[in-house]
Amino acid sequence: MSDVHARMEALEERLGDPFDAAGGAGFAAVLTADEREEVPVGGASALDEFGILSEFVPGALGGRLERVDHLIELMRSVYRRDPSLGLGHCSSSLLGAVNVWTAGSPDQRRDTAELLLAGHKVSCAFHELAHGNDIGSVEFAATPAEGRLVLSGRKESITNLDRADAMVFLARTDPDGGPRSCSQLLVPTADLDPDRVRFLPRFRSVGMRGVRLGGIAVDSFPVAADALLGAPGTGLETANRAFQLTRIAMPAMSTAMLDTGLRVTLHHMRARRLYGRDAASIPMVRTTLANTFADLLLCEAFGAVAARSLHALPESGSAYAPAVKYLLAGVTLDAFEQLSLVMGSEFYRRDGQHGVFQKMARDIKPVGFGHIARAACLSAVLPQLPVLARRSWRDAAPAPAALFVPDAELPPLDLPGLRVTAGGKDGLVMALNAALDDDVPAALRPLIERQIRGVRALTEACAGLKPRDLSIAATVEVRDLAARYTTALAAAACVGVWRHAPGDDFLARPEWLVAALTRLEGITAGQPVDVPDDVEGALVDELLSRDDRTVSFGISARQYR
Amino acid sequence: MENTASDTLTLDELERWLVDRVGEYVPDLDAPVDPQQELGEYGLDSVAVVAFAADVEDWLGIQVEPTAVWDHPTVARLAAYLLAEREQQRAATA
Repeated sequence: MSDVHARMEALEERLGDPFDAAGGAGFAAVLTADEREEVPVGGASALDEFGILSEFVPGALGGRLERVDHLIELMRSVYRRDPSLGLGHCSSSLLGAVNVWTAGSPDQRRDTAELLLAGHKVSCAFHELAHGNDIGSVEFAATPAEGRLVLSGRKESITNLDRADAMVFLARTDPDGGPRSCSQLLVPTADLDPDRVRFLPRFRSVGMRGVRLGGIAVDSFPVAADALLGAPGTGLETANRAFQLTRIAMPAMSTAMLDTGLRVTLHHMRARRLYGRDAASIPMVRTTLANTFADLLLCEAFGAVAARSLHALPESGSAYAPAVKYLLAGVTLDAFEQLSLVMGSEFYRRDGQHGVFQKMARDIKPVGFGHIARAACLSAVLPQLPVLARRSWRDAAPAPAALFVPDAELPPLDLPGLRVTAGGKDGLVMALNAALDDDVPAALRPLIERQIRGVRALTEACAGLKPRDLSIAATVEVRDLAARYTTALAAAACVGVWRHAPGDDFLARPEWLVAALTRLEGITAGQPVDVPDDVEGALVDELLSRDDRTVSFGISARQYR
Repeated sequence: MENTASDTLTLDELERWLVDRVGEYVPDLDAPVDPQQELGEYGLDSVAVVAFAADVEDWLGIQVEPTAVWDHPTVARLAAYLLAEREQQRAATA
């Protein structure tokens, strides 16, 4: 297996300079393809030649997936050019595959690995429009009959359903309902009987227009009982565990769209004179650029730490994954709104050298509802809060340093080992305490102390929650506790990344952390707060320098082509 | 609720505790929880089960995955499972 950093460079090289108007995966080609509701052919073939789907196959099965944080960073090269290409051509196959890696038999795992290694897609047919994120209510049925399972029902708005070589279905195997009433099935497309299976017309969407959203209607189609993934009735449990990976990885890949949005805005502002001065020097513009840069850094820090936690603290994935999805989606959506204000009328254009901005601003929207909606993420975190408060938030052991250090050694990824709940184990949030033992800069101390006080208040509030407060019908005030937990986790991740960054690194400086913690306080309060004046300059300078050096704006500060 | 179960906990006592505890999760019951009735029918959904399993853990002093409640979805079946599980986990750590 080649080193992941070499692969990142090779992928950048294949995809080419996104600002090159002639490039097959450049923004010009991406926009033209988007107008046709397609992905760029040149980009797709470059990814196929690279063997991108091998990145989603665990090393033990012959693929190149070893670390979730590496996968995320690699995929940002795709998402920053075209998220439709990223999702439709690449990561949507991960949604089905993680369930196979988690619960599949050795044969199912091998077959799915072979399929992806050959560049074929896997579709994940879970959702039904009538039931949204309430996947436990699916109606698509797999009914036992004569040693087989007979499939009937519909799935809608599923990525790549009509061009995948295998599909993972979530189906009802027990009509009585309950958490053991659903099962997953892995079905090769070649087995589908055209007399009993009908593909529905493509669903059209506002953003991610190049992604093929399809549906399927199945009428009494029998499959062998060994199509089941895991034991009957374990479908929801498998999804709960397997999707911990995707609920971290997919929003984290999506931050590359904010990188592009920020870069295009910066280019526009640097090239423009307004009111007799450089547009980039207008205070409102500078503040928005600094805010967005801080937002991007905090999102990527949280994403990377959570991704590494799947290796190092796998028991906590059920709490961290929905927290990542909730927070990253909210922050990136808000950041795009702010950038749109700076872009002004240029934001509204579909052509020209900044036309890709409106595409990114549309394509980012599904991060708020795709795969799982933000509201459902809070519902997943909420019932865990009382026991987290009781067992972890008062005196947790220090978080492992490997969570915060890129490329530090991590235990191998063990998807079948992930748990349905964290059992009150959270080794991350109290990483905040550790920072105060150090010689913490004066500008940071009050921010970190306020975060710690925030966790203390959260602990008190959550310890007092009654069982009946925790259900899907929880009040806004109670759901807000879950939201506050997500910002506390993100703050702990940022503090950890700062503490463990090498001395000469921008991430070892206090300015970005002051900015990130300030922004997180604003999110917690429900009232955005600009980065403080005294760190704004350092952030804008770093942003301009990275732009000049063609380096990514996120935590890796990676050389871009 | 008392903090921990006694060492000599009987199946009857365990059932009674579970009936009371489920009652706290489902506050609008007309009658006590029927040990033979599926918990899902009382509205103890998969979300509440996460917190419920943690309560059982604290009280019994053993590890209880929420999936145990899914696999043993009545008070009677859950009590029988938990009692056996408690003996097993204690034997393993003895």
